[in-house]
Amino acid sequence: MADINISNRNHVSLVEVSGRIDSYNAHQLGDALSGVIDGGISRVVLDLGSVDFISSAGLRELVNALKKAKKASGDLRLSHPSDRVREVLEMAGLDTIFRIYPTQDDAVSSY
Amino acid sequence: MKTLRVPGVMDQVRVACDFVTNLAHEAGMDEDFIFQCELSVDEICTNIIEHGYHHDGSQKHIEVVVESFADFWRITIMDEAPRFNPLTSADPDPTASLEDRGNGGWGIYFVKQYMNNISYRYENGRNCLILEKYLSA
Repeated sequence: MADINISNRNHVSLVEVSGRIDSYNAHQLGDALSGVIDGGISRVVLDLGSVDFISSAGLRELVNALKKAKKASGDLRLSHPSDRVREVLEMAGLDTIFRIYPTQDDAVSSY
Repeated sequence: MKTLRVPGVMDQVRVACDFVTNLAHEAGMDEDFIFQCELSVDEICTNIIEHGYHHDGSQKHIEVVVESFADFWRITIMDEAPRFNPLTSADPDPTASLEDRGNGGWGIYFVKQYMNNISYRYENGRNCLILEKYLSA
């Protein structure tokens, strides 16, 4: 089960997730991101620094959340992905779709 | 040869992954090898449960067989869903724009990137997907 923590920083919603994101729990992350955007904060940073595994089910939730954020005139930006997570993002071509920052602070201050 | 048989439900995907990664750890495989096998097993089992069993596989099974050879591993994943060869599906496009992206096909695409050989056969009423990965690649 992935742990998800949500906080606000300078009108940006920071979603920190840790553990494994797979088909069993990816919907939890999707629900969390949707909840943030539906709640009125469409500028979102997802910190992936503590995620050691992500499958296509997890990527699907990220893409759907990005579409939702952009529809609300916001964005979903990623920070600090591990080498493994970055490799999977790149394999799916998502490194050119998402704005990815090396640190949480960089991602938050990019808005 | 090591075999695991689990019900075809989502919370057993992790069990199937752990089965393979534990064997790989015991055999002294490197972290890249282990991760790539783990992701591949996760994606195949997830596809079986979602598309083969339509999330109703508690009375059906997934069987994972790991065979170790001198220079490669073979992981065979079998299910009792209707006959379907996932290798016949078109690959998704990694260069597609956000607007043009659909949700499907990435799992088997990842497996194709990580495994050296993939083949399919239908045998004794079961779909069999055979993944082979060289030890040095």
